[in-house]
Amino acid sequence: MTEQELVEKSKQGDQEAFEQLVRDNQNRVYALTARMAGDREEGADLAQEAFLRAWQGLPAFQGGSSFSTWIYRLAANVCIDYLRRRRRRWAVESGPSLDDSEEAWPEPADWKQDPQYRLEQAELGRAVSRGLDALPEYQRRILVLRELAGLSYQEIGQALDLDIGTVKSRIARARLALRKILLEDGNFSFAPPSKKTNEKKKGEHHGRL
Amino acid sequence: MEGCEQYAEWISARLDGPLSPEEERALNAHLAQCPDCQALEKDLKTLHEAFSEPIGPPAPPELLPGVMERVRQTAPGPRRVRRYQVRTLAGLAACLAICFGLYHSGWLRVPPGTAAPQSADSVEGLPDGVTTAPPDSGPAPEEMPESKQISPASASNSDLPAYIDSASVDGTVADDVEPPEATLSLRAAQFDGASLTVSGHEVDAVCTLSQLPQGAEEILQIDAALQAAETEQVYYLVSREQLDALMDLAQAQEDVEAELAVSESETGLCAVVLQN
Ligand SMILES: [Zn+2]
Repeated sequence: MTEQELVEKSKQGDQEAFEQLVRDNQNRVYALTARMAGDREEGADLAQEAFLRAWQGLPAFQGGSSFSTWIYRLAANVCIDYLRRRRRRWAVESGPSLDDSEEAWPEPADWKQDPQYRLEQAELGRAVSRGLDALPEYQRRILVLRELAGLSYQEIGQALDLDIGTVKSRIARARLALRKILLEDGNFSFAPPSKKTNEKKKGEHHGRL
Repeated sequence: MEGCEQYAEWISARLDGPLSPEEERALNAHLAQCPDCQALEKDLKTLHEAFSEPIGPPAPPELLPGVMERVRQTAPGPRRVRRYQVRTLAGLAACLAICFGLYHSGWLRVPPGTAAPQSADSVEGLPDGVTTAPPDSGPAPEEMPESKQISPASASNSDLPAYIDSASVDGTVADDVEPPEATLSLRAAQFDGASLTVSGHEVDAVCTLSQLPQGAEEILQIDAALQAAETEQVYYLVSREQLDALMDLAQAQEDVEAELAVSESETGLCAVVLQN
């Protein structure tokens, strides 16, 4: 069944069809939410919330984009809301209290401790995954919003309260930093195992925004 | 090479969208003579494309069942709640949780003409502090509206505590129950799956009324009416307290129909939309 058929069925209330949509998209949504939250459990909660909002928002979903595009954006919104709430709560409190000792911007969980991290992934994806985790949080978030959630510069600017010029330069710097990390990563080389690097010519870039 | 930093930014930006013609020309001219930037462009493109590979970590195995469990308790569409939940709106977050819980409890998924899944008997019979009621434990209470119409007069306030109690009961409705249809038009309100907006205003709740109840002028400034651009429906932006008071009025007046959609946001702003 195509994604579009699954969406149509889900709109009619077909839960099995929706389940398939969740199955098809959960890894990427979770990769997004977990990285935005910097925490596995929060990431899972946020992913769940994103899918629930998708289920509830399906009647309004026009199909102007693919379902995956839509759910990534939803997930990004859920994360942004979450970060705003957390930031506000942090701002209200005078300092960390005993019963709420979490940091406002906690460090990312160490994915590498998790056996699931070892699950099979394309080498490049795995390297990027490691690289993302090594980025400072503000760079990781902006790159996740761009590359995983597919938000435009303008949308990222709105989400993070940045002007477009700043978004542009931060994304560039995040990419440079990611490249640097991967270059220093003993397990990864940019040398072309990939055929993509050969067929690349200037002027072939197509904007995705 | 000098100025490579600026070119790096353009190289990055070109992965996401077209540059201006001048930038494009300048960048290409620079790339033609800067091996460093050529290498950079190649690498950044590789990185950019890498994001279409699976990026770990994979979703935990409990995610899917967790989502589906909540889906089974939730009809698609914005959460619609009946009159008696509105009363709790003024209580802010805790009450939103109640609305949410009520929704999940299955009360709001009772389809037209179908018996309510929980009986008033079992709920009323509960001692204080007991928060569970067995599913399918009796006939539908008379005050449960049989029609899918959201009729303000059909719910009595005395039900409220019982409903709150029952809110913590999950999964009391069979999976194949159809979600209730909205009677009134929510057209002016947009629910994008994440937030509820009326003409661009993000609101916590939208109440759609067939008409303003008598006495509404005591609660809101009638001439503060706004008009939704697309649907031309008249709407008012109000506080939660105003919305609550309006719903009280509507409840007391047989000829006023009301429908409420609640989101999880906490902007403090609500909207009243008139059906046109
Ligand atoms: Zn250069």
